[in-house]
Amino acid sequence: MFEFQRLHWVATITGVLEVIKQNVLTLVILFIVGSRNESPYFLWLIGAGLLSAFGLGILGWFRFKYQLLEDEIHIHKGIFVQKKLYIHKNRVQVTEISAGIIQRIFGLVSLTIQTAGGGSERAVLSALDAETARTIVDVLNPKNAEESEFNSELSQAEQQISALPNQGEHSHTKLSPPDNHQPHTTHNPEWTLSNKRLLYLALTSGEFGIIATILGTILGQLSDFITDENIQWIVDRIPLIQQPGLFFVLFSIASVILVSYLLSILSSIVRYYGFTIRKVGKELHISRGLLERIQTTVPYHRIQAISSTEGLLRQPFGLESISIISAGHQQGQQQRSLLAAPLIYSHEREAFFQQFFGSWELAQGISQQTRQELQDSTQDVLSSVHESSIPPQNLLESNDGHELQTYAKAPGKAFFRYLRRPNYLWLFPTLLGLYWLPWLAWAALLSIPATLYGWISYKDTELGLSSKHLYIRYRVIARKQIWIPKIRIQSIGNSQHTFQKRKKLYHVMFSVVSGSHELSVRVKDFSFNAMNSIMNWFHR
Amino acid sequence: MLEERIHPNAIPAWRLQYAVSGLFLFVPAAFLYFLHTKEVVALEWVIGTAIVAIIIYALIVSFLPQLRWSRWSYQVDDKGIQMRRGIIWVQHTEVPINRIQHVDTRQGPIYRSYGLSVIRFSNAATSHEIPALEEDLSQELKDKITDMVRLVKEDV
Repeated sequence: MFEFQRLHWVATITGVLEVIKQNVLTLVILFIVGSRNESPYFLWLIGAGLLSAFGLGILGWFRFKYQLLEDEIHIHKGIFVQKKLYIHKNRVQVTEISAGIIQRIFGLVSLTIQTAGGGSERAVLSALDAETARTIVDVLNPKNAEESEFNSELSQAEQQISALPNQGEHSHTKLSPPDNHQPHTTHNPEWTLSNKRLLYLALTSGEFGIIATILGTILGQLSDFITDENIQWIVDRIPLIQQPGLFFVLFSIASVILVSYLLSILSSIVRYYGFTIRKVGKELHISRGLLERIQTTVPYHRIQAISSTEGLLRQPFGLESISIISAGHQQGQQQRSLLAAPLIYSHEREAFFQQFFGSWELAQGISQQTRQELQDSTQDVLSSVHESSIPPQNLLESNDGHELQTYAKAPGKAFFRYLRRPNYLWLFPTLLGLYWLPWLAWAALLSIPATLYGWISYKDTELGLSSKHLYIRYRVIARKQIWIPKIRIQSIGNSQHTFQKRKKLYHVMFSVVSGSHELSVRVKDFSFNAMNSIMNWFHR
Repeated sequence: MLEERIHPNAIPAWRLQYAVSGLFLFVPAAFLYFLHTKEVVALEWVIGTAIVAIIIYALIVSFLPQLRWSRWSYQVDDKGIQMRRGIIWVQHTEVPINRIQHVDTRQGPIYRSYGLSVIRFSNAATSHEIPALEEDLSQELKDKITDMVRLVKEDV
């Protein structure tokens, strides 16, 4: 356990593949240029490239060593420049055990350790046997860290914990102390994605737009393939086509959309097959994947925020996805959110929160009834709020049981601003282009969907505060909800534009860590009083 | 407006900065123009545009720093750091002390000649800057914030 070790030799294969994957663009260009060129020079180049990929893969494996210590892992890697990576368990955000196809053939797994911060290196141990990987994960577990603290310097740790009354996760552990000592014997809540749900998820994933763009680009590049002969071949086999010209274009567009839809269904199924989330002691274990099994471990106290997204295709069916926002990230991936429930009915959310995020407040958002009652009272309540004294709004607590303290939404005078805002998107480019292209006047028809969108986002934007959590519902095409614990808010701010000044409206911003970057959520056009009470809530 | 202002030396420093960056804007443009134009057509238009551009830029250089300075204010207390800035978009940001990961100060050649420096504090997500504080004051502030951070024990 305590000396330097190499990875399993299978790491050479993954290493070679990794090098090829990184240079795939160069290779493709070489192939395309090479296929047009008769000289054997390019073949040599490609050969040399592949050979050096092998060389790099094997050398990379040879130079990669790791050492597991009591509470940290040391990694030495790098072919020409040796990098030494020391990761202490206190700094680990998320660990991920995955088994890709190659690893599965040999019965191995790959382990990724994610830490926070911009300069953090990614630590990937690409071929380990499952047992070693588990050992490493267990060592790097913050759960164990806390346990040892409890045992050795109990008073110190206790003091630190009790000094943070706001930390929801810790209050949770206080409620159920047996969890600490025998995490595997107590019952673990579990939620799985049924196959029926998986199908719904795949059908409504809304990813086909992205895939269609990629496919379209590729098709555009395949001009060699689209010859008169080939077109004739297709036209001959489809009886409906009489005029090849227009129909062929329509046909190919339709087929691109169909194929990309099927591909998106396939990719969702491959990624989310067998999705299971399990609460084990003080961490969440998430496993998923058909070809590549991925097991992610997230300690509760590393969760920065929870968000839920109701996509356009999902909202009509009352479906949504819930994700965890964490500070762990891999190099290259800037923002990172981890799905906690890929597809769930909105009315099941409260039960889901109860199971996995028991200490989080405002789980069901703001109920229709409360909202109705508040519609009348809010204006008065918020306008009566002055500077420091916020009256306890017991009216809300008794109804909801969610300790809702303050509720705010954009006031009526902001309504038209909401309606107008999406319209600027088409208005300014159109005005600029109108001089040259008079038919752009038709773009005025866009005002209908844009105004509708503005109306819906006015209705959707709302904000709730409890003693420990911030809840925001807003819309960026899809309707989103986010729960941020007060202690996770990195900064808070408001801004006011010259035109807002007249109406005394403010944008209010909150930022939270997501991957190596910030996720900032902004609610627009709130009244001065609402803004003020939010800022005061933050100071308390 | 918050309690503290940034140092008034910021105004000449920013002026110099703007003027220097203006050089980078105009000189290459003029150079490219004379390099690539074989015969100069409508010279009066060219010169006219250039003069108008330079006048507008000169106005910006002389008035914008003043305006920007007058709209910048900040405040550091035990709650956190508050900053308020912006001419058209007035922006107010608050960073609580216990979220701050590290603080650094920075000084370019222009700022050094005016005895100013920039202080920047980073939290886990992003970083914020107060531009143009007096050197000693920024050192002092840095020490003060670091001390305050040390008192708070919290983890991301």
